[in-house]
Amino acid sequence: MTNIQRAVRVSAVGALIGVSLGACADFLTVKNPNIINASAIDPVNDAPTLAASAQQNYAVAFGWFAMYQSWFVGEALVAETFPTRNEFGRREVLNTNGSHNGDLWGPISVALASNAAVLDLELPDPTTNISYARAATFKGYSFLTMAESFCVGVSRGGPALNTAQMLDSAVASFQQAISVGTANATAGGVQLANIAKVGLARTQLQAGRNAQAIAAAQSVPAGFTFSMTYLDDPAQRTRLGNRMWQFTLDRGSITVAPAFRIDGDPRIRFKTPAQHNLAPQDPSSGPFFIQDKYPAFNTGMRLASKLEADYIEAEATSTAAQLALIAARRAANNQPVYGGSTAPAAVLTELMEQKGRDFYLEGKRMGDFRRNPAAVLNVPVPGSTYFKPGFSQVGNQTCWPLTLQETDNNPNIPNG
Amino acid sequence: MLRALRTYLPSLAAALLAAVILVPEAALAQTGSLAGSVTDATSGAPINGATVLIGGTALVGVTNDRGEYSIANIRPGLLLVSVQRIGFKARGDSVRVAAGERVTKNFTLSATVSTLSEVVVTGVTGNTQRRAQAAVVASLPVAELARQAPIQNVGEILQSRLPGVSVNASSGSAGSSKSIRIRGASSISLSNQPLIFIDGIRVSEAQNSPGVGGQLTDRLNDINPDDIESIEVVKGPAAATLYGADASAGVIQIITKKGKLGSNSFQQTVRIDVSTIDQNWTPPSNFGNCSAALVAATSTNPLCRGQAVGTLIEDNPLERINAFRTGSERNFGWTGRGGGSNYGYFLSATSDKTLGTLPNNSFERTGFRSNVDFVPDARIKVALGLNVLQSETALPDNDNNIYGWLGGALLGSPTTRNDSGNPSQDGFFGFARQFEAINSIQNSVQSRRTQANVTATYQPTDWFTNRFTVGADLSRDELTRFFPRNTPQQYVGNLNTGDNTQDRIGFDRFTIDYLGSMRTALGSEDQWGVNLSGGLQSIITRTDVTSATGFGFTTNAANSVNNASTRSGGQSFSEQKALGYLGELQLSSRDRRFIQLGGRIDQNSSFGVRAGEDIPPYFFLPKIGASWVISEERFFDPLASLFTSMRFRAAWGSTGRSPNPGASLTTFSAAPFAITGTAQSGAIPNNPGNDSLKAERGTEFEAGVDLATWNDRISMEVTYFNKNTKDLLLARPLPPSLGFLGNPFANIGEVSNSGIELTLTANLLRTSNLDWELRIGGNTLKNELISLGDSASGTKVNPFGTLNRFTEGFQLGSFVTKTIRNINEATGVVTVADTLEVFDNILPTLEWNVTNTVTVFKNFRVSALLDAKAGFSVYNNTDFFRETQLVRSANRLDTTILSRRERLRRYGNPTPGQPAFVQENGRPTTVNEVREAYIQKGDFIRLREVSLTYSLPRSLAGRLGPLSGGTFTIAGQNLALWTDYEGPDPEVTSAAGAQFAREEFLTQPNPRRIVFKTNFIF
Repeated sequence: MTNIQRAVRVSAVGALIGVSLGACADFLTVKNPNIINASAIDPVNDAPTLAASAQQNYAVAFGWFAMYQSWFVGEALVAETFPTRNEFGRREVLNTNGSHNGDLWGPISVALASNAAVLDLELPDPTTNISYARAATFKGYSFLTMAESFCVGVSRGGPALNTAQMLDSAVASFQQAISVGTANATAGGVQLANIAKVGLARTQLQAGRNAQAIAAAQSVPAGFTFSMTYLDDPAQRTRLGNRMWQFTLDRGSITVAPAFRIDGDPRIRFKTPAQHNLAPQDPSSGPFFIQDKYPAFNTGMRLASKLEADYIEAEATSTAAQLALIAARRAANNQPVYGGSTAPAAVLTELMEQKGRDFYLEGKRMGDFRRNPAAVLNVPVPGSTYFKPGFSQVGNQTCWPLTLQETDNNPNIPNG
Repeated sequence: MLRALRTYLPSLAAALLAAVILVPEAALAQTGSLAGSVTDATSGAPINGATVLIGGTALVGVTNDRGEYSIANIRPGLLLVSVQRIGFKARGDSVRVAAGERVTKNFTLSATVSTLSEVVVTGVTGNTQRRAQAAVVASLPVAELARQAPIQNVGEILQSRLPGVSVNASSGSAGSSKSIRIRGASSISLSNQPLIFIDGIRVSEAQNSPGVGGQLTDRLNDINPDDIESIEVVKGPAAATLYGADASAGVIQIITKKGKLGSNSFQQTVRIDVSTIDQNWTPPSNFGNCSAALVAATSTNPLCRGQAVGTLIEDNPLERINAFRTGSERNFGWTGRGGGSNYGYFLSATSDKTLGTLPNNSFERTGFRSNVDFVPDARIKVALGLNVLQSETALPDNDNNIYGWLGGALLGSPTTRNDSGNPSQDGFFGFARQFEAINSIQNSVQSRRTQANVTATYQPTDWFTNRFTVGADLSRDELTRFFPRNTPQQYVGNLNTGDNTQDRIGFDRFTIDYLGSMRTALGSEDQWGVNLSGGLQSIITRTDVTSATGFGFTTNAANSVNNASTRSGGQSFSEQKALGYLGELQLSSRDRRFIQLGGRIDQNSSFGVRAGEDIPPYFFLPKIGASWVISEERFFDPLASLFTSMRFRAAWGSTGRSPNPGASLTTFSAAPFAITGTAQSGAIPNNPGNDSLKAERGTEFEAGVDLATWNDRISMEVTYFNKNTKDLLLARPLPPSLGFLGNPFANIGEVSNSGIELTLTANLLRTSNLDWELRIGGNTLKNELISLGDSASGTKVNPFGTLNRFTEGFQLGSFVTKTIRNINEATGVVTVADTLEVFDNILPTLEWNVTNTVTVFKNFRVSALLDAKAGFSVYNNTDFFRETQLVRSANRLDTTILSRRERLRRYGNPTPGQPAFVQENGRPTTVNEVREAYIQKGDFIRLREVSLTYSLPRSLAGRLGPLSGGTFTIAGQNLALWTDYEGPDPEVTSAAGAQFAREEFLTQPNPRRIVFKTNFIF
């Protein structure tokens, strides 16, 4: 019995001492390997990693925007049930739309802010530092994507920016990217500069500054093309994978719109329901014509190219230049010679048609639509019946509102 | 001052150490013993389970089924002996025991409905009788309840039995979770689930899911009701102060059954329950109109073939395939309970299996518990507890899942019916995703837990008690979500190649607790009592998660992730440590006037650490309270005939809610990049952090009166509470444009919960052959978001949330919508508000329950529990989807069902070219922002339980071999529901893990259970 008493006492006392002493030392120090503490990041040495991560952030946003824009401007139909995503198909996107905030506004904001944050770092060799070139390039694209899609934008918690302000910000970023990338002179630096040149041309065109657009477009070297790289990593598909394929395979969300089910044009690759065994998420969306442009998670998505620069230059230059490019593109893609009207409006419409095919599902059509609403055809028509039953009719939006999460929480945007 | 405490902590520890060590080695050789019986003063029947305590010692005796007790190793002298048993007035007497003498002392106890002499152990130090407690600690005698009520888990035990404790089932699936809210909800971003303790050890409150819809499994379901003696609920900060900076949502203490010290007995109980579970719900049919193609003679649609174009057809897939089965339970339990002169033991084993009403839903629980109490001498008592259990929950693919049982069936269209024999939708939502495909999906959570605790009580003198508790809850969960490989392409994407996701969650929680209590009596006739207590408590929690996913299997049998063609994995680990020092001073006068002063100082590894400091700040939690048993004052004598007892009490106290691990830190998020074609590690800003982060502070004032009247046959407790939570730990919503992935926690805002709680117990009839007891419980709740910060200090947060919104002046998470202003039936124009407006509550503002129990001829007992909730709404997202997104419902397609006005209210203006809804400012909007028709009143009254129990008389049991007693019960659960809610069940929610969501979306309603329960006592 005495031994038991002693054992109890010794245990109790030992534990008591342990707890008390522990409290005085590092008892409250814990391991938490889930967390990357900011203090562990070296802004200078880790800048290339931060810049590359920020570029990937834009790649993430780019995939989302290409998909949602495809619904909004009629490249594809919404083949899923989410009411929030159907709002894009109906051109009636509410500021309370959770997908709008989570899939679009959030990712483009992260892309913009993370690239801007790299530019805020004080890095060595600022005129040639490739991290600056990279971050400036994708900061520019972040502004450009925002400007083409959102009616009003915001950068890093600041005040509301109108379209012109967003485009001006994009121009400044692209110019910095071109300058630093060119001065860097490595293959990577030059590539970034060329990406930025295409972005600059596109931005100037969107801003209505045709001369500057032409100049920038002409500066893009022949044959240049750059695609955002994606990977098939099962654990990182939302961050590293091709969004179009993810939402084709895993969610059955994207049906090629009837206007783009064009046989014989190699630029628009799709599969009929008989050619695949996938099913749409929402069967009421009709036969499931899946896109075949991005047939895998690791299929890249073209961001910038000399071809795009050519379209920009042609649009900004003249109807004749447009006709020349139309002819070239038709010939290159087994299409008959254009025989339609040569009136500027008709030619522009045909130019947009050819551009729509060349850049199908590449996230460029919304900018084209906002710039040339009459020339971009097959966009869902305001007031028309939505293609799926039960939903309200198609609205008349041309751009997307800021999300409630932004207007609710940004003190620089009074009253939303 | 607080730093000084840290400085002096070693000294304090040394003092306590000395007190423990420097105990005189008393001569134990010369001791006496005490034995006797305890009987009912009215009937003379022996009272089983009464506790006999010898004051100033650790000695305890518990009566056996013959009412007998025995206590040995008593030091000679004059003893104060007290006897306690729930439902009886406590008795005390003095007894002199001489060395070597065996003294016999018998007690008779009188039944009472008053609870003043009950003992509570949760949230208290010092005098543990309820009469001394300033704040309410509700107590539920589970052992009695479990024999008769159709309960199978802790959630059902708590449901509708304690005012202020609101329990809500997430779904009707077997094994799914329940949310528990005590006195409303205080925290916006942190959990509002109470802390769970078992015998003083904090255990896992986890609710896990393998990723199926909105359903979660619940670690509370693991606990075998057979093992529970009682449950005590600490409702709020006024009582929970001693549980520290994490207890503001309340504390549930589960007290397991113990052995019968001193009973010299051994009693076994065998429990066998069988039940049937009936879904008791007819799912709504789907409707559709036949097209020209579908009516053709070659059509594969059997409903439309040969019909006229436009014919409205109807299909009910769940009924057609007979999806719901009759579920069942087969539960088996064994307990052994007994003890000798200085030891007691309780052993239990259980094997329970429930088959839900959907084919692939089941819950199994197997467990073993042993509790041993040992009193080696009058100063020491050691209690050891060990619980080893395994549970496995198989959840049906359902709930917030458009392809699940309810989703696939309720969102399908009859126009897709197909009798060709080829894979098709055939009336379901998913392609080729019907019975077999849904049934083949495996969603399971298997949990293995070991809970161990040691409590040593050491009483070196009659005025000094030390209680040391150490214990752990170690759980290992295996989560599986498996889609079998198939050829008809039943699922989407890679799932069809076979897809197996495995998660392994290791959860360890350790509790170390010391409490020293010194008491003395002063003045003539021991007029004054002083009780000083102090101690410390530490809780350490570690969570380690490993996950792996693979797809592409050769066979479904060989489906370990290693056999997958494509694999990925992940791992995470987190740790949190809390440390608290507590102290309490209790002063009493003549054992009827009590004042308590107390406090606790907490530190937590998750608090922010300011630059230049190396340790988290302290968090001080004070409390004060008073209790006055006024009925024992002389001046009360004129009222004594009216009120048997009356007590006033008031308490104020403070607790907190600690942030999650790492919440204070400025962090980056791992963000790999693949810009060169290979994945590389990357990082992007995640959370700006907050080095000032501290716990939420909840303070509560409560006051009440407990009284017994009508000859001690009616007792009533009325409590007013006002709980105020400041410095809310709010994941402050940042504008997304800032580019952070996470919202930083900040201490912003204030929430108030106030209300009145009532418990009334009335023994309306008390005759030898007829006893009628009525219990009424109820509470009101006013939950209000007082503040979302302060503009002057720059902490102001705007209202946030789109369906459940947080707006100052309203309930947390109130439903919002663009409220309809006007419906013009002539033009079809429906005018709505310009902005989201608060529409209704999500938390009930009134809950009540009534239990009637009638006992006839002593052995037949009938009991019925009716409960109700009112003052809240439920978002009927199922109907919203069926009517406005996928047009399936009769309401939408059969234009004769709803009035034009109601159709305009639900669907908006149908006129081509016109917007569905028009805001007052002229802008158009859609039904996605005008949902008031689907935010439906959830008020209900439910006949929760009815039971009929027959107790085998001892005289009869004696003729049946070794049997000494038994009960036979037939009981029903969820027998009737009265509500205006348009969905199947206003109690279920499709977002079980969400803090503030009362939404039903393809959620299985609560089923009806009929249980036949037997208990055989040997």
